[in-house]
Amino acid sequence: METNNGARVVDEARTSLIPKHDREKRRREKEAQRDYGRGRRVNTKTIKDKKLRRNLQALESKYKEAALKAKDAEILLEGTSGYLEPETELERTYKVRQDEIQDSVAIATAQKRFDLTLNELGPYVFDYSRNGRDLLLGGRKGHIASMDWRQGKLNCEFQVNEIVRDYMAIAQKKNVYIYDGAGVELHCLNQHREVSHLEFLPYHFLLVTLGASGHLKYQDVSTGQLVSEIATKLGPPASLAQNPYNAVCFSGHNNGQIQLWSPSCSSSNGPLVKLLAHKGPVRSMSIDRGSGMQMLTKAEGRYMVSTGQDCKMAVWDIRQFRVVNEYFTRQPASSVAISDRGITAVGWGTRTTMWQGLFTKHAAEQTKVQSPYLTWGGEGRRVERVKWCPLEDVLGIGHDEGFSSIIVPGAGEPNMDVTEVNPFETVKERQDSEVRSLLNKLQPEMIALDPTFIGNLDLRSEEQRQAERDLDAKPVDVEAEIRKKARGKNSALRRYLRKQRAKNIIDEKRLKVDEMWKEQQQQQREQQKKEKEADLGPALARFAKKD
Amino acid sequence: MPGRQAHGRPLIVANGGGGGKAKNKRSKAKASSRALGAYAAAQAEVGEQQKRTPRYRQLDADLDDDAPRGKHARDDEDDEDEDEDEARPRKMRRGARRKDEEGDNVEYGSDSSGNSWRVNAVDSEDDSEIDSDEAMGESDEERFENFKFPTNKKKKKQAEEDDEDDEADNDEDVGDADGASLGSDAIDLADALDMSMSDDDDDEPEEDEDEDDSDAENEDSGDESSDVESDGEDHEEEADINAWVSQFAGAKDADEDEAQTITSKPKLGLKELGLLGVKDSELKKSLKLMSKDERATKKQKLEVPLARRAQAKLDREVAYEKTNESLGRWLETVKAMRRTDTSLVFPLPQHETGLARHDNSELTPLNQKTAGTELENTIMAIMEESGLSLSAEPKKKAVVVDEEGQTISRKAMLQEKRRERELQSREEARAKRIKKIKSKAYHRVHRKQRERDEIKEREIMAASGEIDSEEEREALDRQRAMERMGARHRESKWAKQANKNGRAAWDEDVRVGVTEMARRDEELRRRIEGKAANKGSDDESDVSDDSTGSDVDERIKILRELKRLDAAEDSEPKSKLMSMEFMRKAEARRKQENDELIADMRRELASDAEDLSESDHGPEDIGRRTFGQPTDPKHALKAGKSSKKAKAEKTDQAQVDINNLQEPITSRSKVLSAPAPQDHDINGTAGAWSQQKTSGSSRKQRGKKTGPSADVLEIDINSVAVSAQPPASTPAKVKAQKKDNTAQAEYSSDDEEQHMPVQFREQELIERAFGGLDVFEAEFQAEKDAAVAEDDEKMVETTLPGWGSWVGEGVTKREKNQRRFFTKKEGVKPEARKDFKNDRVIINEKRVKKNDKYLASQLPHQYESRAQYERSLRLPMGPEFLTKQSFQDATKPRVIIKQGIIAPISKPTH
Repeated sequence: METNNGARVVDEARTSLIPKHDREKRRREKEAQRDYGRGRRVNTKTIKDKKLRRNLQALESKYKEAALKAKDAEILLEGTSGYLEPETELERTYKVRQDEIQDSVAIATAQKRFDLTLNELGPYVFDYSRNGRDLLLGGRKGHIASMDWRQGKLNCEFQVNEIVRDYMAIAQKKNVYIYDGAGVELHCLNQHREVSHLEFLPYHFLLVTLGASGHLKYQDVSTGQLVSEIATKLGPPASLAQNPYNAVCFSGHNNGQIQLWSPSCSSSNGPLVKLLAHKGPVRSMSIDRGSGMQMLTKAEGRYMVSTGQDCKMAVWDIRQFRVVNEYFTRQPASSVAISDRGITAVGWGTRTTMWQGLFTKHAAEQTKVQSPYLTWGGEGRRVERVKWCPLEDVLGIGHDEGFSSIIVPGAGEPNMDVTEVNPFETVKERQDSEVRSLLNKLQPEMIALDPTFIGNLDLRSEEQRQAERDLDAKPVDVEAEIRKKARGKNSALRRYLRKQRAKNIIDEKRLKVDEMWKEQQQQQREQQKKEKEADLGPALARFAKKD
Repeated sequence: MPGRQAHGRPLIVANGGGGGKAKNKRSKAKASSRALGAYAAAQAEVGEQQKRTPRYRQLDADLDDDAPRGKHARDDEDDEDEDEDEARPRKMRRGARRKDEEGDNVEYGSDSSGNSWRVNAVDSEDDSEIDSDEAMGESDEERFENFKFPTNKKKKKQAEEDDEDDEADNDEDVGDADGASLGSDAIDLADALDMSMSDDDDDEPEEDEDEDDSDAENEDSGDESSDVESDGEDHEEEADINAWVSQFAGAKDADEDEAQTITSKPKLGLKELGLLGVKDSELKKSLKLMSKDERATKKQKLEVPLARRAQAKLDREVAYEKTNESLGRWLETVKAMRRTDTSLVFPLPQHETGLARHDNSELTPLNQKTAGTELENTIMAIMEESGLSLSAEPKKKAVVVDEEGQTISRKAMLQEKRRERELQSREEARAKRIKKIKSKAYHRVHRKQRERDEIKEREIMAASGEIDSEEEREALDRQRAMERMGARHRESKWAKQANKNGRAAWDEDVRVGVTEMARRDEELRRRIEGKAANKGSDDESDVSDDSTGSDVDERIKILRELKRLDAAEDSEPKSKLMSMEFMRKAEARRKQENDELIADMRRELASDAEDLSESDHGPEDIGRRTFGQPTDPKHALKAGKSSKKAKAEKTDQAQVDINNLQEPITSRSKVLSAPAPQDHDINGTAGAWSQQKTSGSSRKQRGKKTGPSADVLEIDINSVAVSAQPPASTPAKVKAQKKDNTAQAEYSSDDEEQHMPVQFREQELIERAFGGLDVFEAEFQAEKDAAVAEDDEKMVETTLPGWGSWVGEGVTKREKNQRRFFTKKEGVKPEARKDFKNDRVIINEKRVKKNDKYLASQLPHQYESRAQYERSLRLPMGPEFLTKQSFQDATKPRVIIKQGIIAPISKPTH
């Protein structure tokens, strides 16, 4: 294009007069920002106040530094992950059977595949401990067993002649019971009735139960208090899951809805979010931890996979609450689980299929996967529950004939953060970490959709706040407040005065308190005087020393 | 302290008591005592107290705390003698001080016009002060330098130090202490007072200057040295005083006499003469002279000093300014320290003098200078001996020596060089370049020779039976010969004749020959320049690639260089020297030579090129259809023959021949002849382009072998190309179809085809079971609508029926409606909802009250916007969220104190 003065207008001006190393640097910064960044930077150039500008610039550079350092620290992550890969086009990874995998892996890994035949006490549910070391099995007909699954060592095993619905703390027919490692019953939570689903929020020490009545209950297991009790008003629930990113609980219901709850919610205000996910009951949900190195430092629940009775499996982007993709299952999937590195296991009927790449993090558009990564089953064992073993390439499958542990290459996170969960911890370390995590316990009110809201600015207007304030409340009476506590020799009044005198602030309250103090003193003096007079008698009292 | 009223009085008194001038000093003191306030009175008293006993003095002095004892003891001996003088010197000192102050302080102005003060002073009280100042004028000082004033000064000094005139000593002491604490340059109030005091000492201007100098030095050398120096000064002073005291006893009487004689001189003024109205300047002048004399004599009649308080105020002001200034120097340092992001580490890394020098944290490298101990010295010596000297010898400058053996400066050398460069003509430079090019050409020629040798060798080899190419070579030779015969060189006899006689005009044969020649010439040139002879000449260049490509390239390069030489000829500006006659001539001569050289080279190159084309590429030239010349069937035949041989041997040339032969076909089929799998039998000696062609040609060769004509072959190729396509694409399509199927259907692995129909049936069933009803969706939608309506902005009627109006019967509807009140309830508009565009989601817009306790109620100070504040919260501090380094950086204390001597921050140097 040429203008009338002869100058050429370049449509796409070549602006990359940047040297290579500089470009490289920028690329690195961009990547670091993408992986480890903490939000958008503020514009410091428009700030007028010099000091603030300087401070914020320093802050921005700190952010950048931190991100870059974290990116650089990636080279310390030794473990690499890999998947089964077909060599030719005709080969399919889902045709690889477990025994083939077992033959080709190292012995230590091969040992992780095993089957427990427990065909008498009904379909089994199970769960791994957070560090993936222990396994708790619960048969529907009351068989409970806890074991160190890698060593095959049984910690405890006992039989409750009741229906066992969920695990962890064990939800039995009527109440929820908590047992210790040796199988001794510690607590019976009789406020939780007919519980069908349990979930534990490790950072908040909250046990979440969802019962047949449709009540969602949060119990603080460190203090024993029932934090909140919310009625979902939707009858018996179908499923329960938690988002590891923000500890929001997802409850799946029979009307196809998924509701997002936090302990701050109330039954009157309703859940944080309602999703219409399926056309039938929501059978199972799972939220991803976020894959990649960043998950070491922070979980980021971006995607959820839910399965419904309508034979559908939906992948949701739960930041935008949009469906990414929908898949069909041939039977309603009973259980779904997402591994550390984003492999999704779906248990349906007698089969379990593992999917890889249902969602990719930085992709602009999610692709629809055509074929599964691995399959298992088809041998007449109805799958009750699937669950990934943390930090391992192992998938546990609970079915009506017991429990099976299978190897799924590339499922576990190869680089573990042992300060977070340590599978190799000693007893002492475990005790220490328990204490530490108790000290770092988060409050239930801190749970929200955006976990970074803490410290943010309250955006309500003064009017709104005024309206919400209780204007009818009685004004606080200083006198009453102080007098009320005034007991014992070291009275509240005296303590208050002692502290206030040091500060030397004179305000209304102080004046009042001083007055009270004087009054008190006066009274005391009179009392003493009277006593003296009483001692001396009426005749001699007139000679008593006056002060 | 003197009262305020004491300011101007004494002069009046003095003037009033003009007659009493002849009185001795005691009477004078009395007079002044009358005039002075409390302080002056006290002073006078001291003066009067002639008979003070040493004991009394001792007591007195004891009361005045700090005065050093030794001095007092010394003074006591002299006191009796001095008594008479004592009052006077003190006054003198005062006067002197006053005067200097005036000199210093701007508010007093420069009172240099000592001429007129006397007259004015008669009327105004204020000017009386100036009077006293003038009494200490410079001239006077000169005059009485070794007579009266020295005593005064010394006296004053002494008085300052030992007398009850406390301040001086006090101040000095305090000043010392403070000075030490505040650094050398800082001037605290007391110091300033001291300074002003010492400034008063007009008698010691040199010393003052010295002090200034030393001050300046102090700035460099730091606190300690300055302290030491000032101490030394003190000692000096002391010594001076002692000397003076010892000498004083003898001189005393004479002084007194002298003083009497001087003071007895009557004062003369206009007033005294009764000539108040006199305006004559002459007269005034003479009077002035007189008064000057008078002033000199009237030492005793000194002005009452400024009230102490006033003076102190002035002193304070000055001191304040000075202190401010010196403190202001620290401003930058403090700012810098406050602003650093990193923490401050003490001891500070400073390399100035002071304690920082004794930094024990690091060892300085050992060298000749720092070697302090014996051991170090010996080590250094040994190292020196063994040639391991640490101190690198300074590099010797390359000394430039001219013809006479004199060293010349760098500048001169540069000039010289520039001159030489100027002299060196451009033509010479050109000649150099030409030579270079020529040498290239030479090498080229030699390489050709080598190649020929190689060919010979090959022939020998062929003869020995290794390569059986005799026939082919023969054919080639014949070709070349024919070429030569046909070629009519421009330089040849024939060409010259043709030119000369103009035969071309009438002889058709010659004309054809000439055009032919021109054409060839043109073609050669083009080929030399690397331009394609025609659009489709890719193959040609390809051909030249393998054997002669580099050769041609080189030739082209040389030609280009030559051209550049030509072009660059006149572009350069000419210097003065060059424009001179003889230079130009020489230049022209050289140019001619150069041009000839270039022409020679050109010719050579051209002939070379022709030779090359003739020798190596003869057949190709023949075969070229692009030149529009009908090809000789004979050639074609030959080519065919040779191609057969090529088939056996698979040389490039043969292939090229075939190429030429079948060019139209290949060019047409080029597009289609994508490298098919059959191509793999071709050897990869040729380049990428030629490979494609050879693939075609080889196929043709095969075709020739089998029999079918070229046309058939062409179709064949097409068909091959077409058939090659589908196998690649159809599987893909099939796969895609399959994928589609799987996408819609199931992932079940083994028996997809079997299950597909079943699946569809199932889906249909499901659709019917769930989708058809749409119960849940409808429910959900209703729920959402309700939520939206609830959160939306609402108008709420707050009308109280009957409020402010009548009710009951007879109230019209209009009246009723008039008194209705509505309030708007804030809410979230449907468009502003987060789930506005998402049908399957309801996001709760109600505030979660329990979360509020973790919100900030207002924007904290310093931040200007919410974004800034919230941004500042997002950086975590914990070791779990950061790398170790960033964590440590984030939690580093602001001030770190390391072990060692912590020196004060060094003084800012500006």
